[in-house]
Amino acid sequence: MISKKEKILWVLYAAVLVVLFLLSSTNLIIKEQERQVYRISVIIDDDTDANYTNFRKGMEQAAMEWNADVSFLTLYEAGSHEQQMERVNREQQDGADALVVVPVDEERFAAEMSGGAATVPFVAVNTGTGGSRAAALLSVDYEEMGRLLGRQIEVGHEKGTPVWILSASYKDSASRHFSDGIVEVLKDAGFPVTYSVNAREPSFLAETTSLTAARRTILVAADQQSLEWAASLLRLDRAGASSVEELYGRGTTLSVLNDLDRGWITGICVTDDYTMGYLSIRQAVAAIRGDVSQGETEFQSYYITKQELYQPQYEKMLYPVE
Amino acid sequence: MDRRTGGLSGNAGIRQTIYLYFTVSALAAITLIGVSLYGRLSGQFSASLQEETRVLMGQVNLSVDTWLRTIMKLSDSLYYGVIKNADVTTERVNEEITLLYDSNRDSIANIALFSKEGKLLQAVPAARLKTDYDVRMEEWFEHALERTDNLHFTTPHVQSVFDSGDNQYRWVISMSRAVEITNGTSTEQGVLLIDMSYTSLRRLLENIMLVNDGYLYMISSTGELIYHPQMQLIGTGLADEDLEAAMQYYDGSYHENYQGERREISVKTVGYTGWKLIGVMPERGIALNNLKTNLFMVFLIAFFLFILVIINALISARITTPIQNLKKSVNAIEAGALDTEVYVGGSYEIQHLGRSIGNMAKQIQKLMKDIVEEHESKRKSEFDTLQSQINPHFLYNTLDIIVWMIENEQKEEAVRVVTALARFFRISLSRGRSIISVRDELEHVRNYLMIQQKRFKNKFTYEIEAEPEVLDLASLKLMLQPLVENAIYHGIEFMDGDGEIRIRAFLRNDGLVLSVEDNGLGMTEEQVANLFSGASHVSSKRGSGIGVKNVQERIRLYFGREYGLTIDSEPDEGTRIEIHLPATPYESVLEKEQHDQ
Repeated sequence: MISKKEKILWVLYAAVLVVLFLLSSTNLIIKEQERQVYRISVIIDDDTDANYTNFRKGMEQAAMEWNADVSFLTLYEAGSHEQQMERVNREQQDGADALVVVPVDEERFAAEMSGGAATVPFVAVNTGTGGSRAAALLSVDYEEMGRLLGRQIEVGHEKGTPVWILSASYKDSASRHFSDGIVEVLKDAGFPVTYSVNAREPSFLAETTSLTAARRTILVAADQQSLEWAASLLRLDRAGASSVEELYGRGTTLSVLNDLDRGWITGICVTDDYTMGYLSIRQAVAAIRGDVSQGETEFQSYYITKQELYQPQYEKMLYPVE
Repeated sequence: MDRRTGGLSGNAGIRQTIYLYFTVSALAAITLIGVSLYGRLSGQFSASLQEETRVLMGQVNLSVDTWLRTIMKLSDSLYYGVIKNADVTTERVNEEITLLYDSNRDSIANIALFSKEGKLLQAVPAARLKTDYDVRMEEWFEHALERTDNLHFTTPHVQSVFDSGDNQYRWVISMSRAVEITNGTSTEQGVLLIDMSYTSLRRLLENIMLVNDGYLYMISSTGELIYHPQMQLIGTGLADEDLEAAMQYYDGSYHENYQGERREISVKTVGYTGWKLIGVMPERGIALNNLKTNLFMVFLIAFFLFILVIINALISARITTPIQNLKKSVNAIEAGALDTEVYVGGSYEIQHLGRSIGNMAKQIQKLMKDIVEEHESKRKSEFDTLQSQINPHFLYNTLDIIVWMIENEQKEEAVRVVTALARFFRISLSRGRSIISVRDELEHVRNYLMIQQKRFKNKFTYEIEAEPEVLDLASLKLMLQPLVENAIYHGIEFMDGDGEIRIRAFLRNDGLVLSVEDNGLGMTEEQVANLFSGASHVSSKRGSGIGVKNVQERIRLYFGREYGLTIDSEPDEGTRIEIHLPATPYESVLEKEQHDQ
């Protein structure tokens, strides 16, 4: 006959065995890390992804590493804040676990997302203000980028050389800040600056030459589209190109880099778009996992000429290894 | 350690002791076996994985080596088969180069031939040099002309020699060599450039997965990355690799700590180029070492222990239950119930023990019964003896004789009889002792014989002989007198003629012997047997009331069953009764009595 104490010990021992079994052989207590797939929607500010090539490559690398299913969405109408917010709401309703947004209008975007439009974690890119609900911000100081370019122009040209700043849209805050930075430096340095928005007409160059017949003009493209357009214009219009002293701008598309390599563009300001794309997804995944206050990451700007294009520190940044 | 119990168990029962020792032994054995097996398996698993990795590294090395050799062979084919001793500006040369390019287009991005001045002589696929591009500034061009015997390999870079005209870029590894170009009748040096597709190299390496998140990467002889799964991230600063340490390694295996993680490193050098193939395996993935595995080991050990403990409980119950039952029986016997049925069961030894204890209990019971009977017999004998010590009939008869003697003026005779009587009763009583000296016993019977001789008017004579050395030996009181009494009343009283009674006391080799011999009527065997049974003795009305049986019993009670008396009698011849006693000094008996008191 076993005593009551022995019975209790037997029962306890059996219970310990059961717990050990559950711990070691089932997922009830210690859960195996499931490879969860995170659904992330990326909504940019443009109707084309032409300017986001390197950004997408970084995103794809991060998606592979962090098990993310990324949907890359463009707008039907470039620069439409309303459309962008509509996309934001739709993606949230469709079950996205997180969003990565390049805001068209950063102030309105921040206000609306803080006001309750955000129902899932989101990462704001190319902006320093995502509102109080943003899990992370990836920003570029475009104004400082503009000042960097302005200083390069100041050093390379004679004071008083006219400068034309071309921009596709006045609403684009990045272009606006970039232009402001350039203007700030060049006006102080005594360079006359003219600002043109949406200058797509072929006669544009003729106008510029007529207005600045005495001196050749420095062209500065405030966005990638304008830069590509201006470079193509110089390639095609040899006569008009002679009235342009130098072409500068910002952008990292292959077309821009090739034009820089060929000499049509003198210098460009660039950022590490690949890293930005990578970090946008990584931080979105971190936000899904619970880290919703990762702060702001500011990306440095660089000034590149043809000579630096293939230097190792820029080569991988501009030509990501796929 | 408890010396009394001889073990560590102290007061613990045998069941607990068996349980404890067996459980500890089983636990030790299981743990030892489990840990040994785990260590062995873990070691073998590690060794197996390492061997597997080594073999995999070897295969990858072979693949990379093959890939390089293919390109090198292509380079040789181009040079020796196409360029050397040929006019490199002809269409035929271009066609041949194109043929070779087409058969290797998966691995080759560009093939180009330059003069030593940097002029492009041939290019497949067709392309033009970038504007203002001077190939003589490129390292691959310089190295090729500096060391003309060697093939030179660059690290991966973006192809930047040709203006491709499309919006594409390619990462390539450039291989260059110095070549002799035939220009009319003269030859001059030139450089053959083959841009190897980095994608084709990457394809060889990118799907190689080593143990549990392990990976491969490749560095040049100067420590620059050729390939890494996170090459882009390392290039942009988002990831890191221990390239400095990797540069120092030769072929083989190493252990290193990097960013808080222990890793095993395997290194293999790719032939000719000096590139190193580096395999990295986090050691956490190599052993059977994760939380769930460890918990499973613990569970296994605990489970087997559980089973063993149950088996142990059953075994110990089988062993100890019979012992417990036997113990109950022994307890009952200990409490006095000697007729308890002792449990006989269990193993052979326990059964034997049970039977032995049962027999022992029966034996004890019998011995106790014997003792009781012996005591009872002794008590009765003592009682009879006590009774006989003051025999009133003998006294009356003797006193009658004394009165008659006095009345008949036989005063001296009367005095002698009174004296003998007094002496007789004094020895009879002997202060209550049952053992007296032989001297006193002989004195006693002498006095009796003297009185009886007077009573029977000298119908018999008597003689008492004793060796001097026997006088101080121990004897039983009232031993000779009943025998003499029998001799008088059965042997002599009714015989014709005078009777003779002879008493002797002497030593023999087996002890003390006292004999009573008469020449009386003798007895048949039946009569002798009756004496021993007590059926025939002088009744208390005439004599002492103690028979031969009583004497025999008392002798055996006091001295043991090996002593006693023997009767040798022949009818009409006489009777001889011999008493055999141990030759024990009377002093020693007295001392023993005092000690016992």
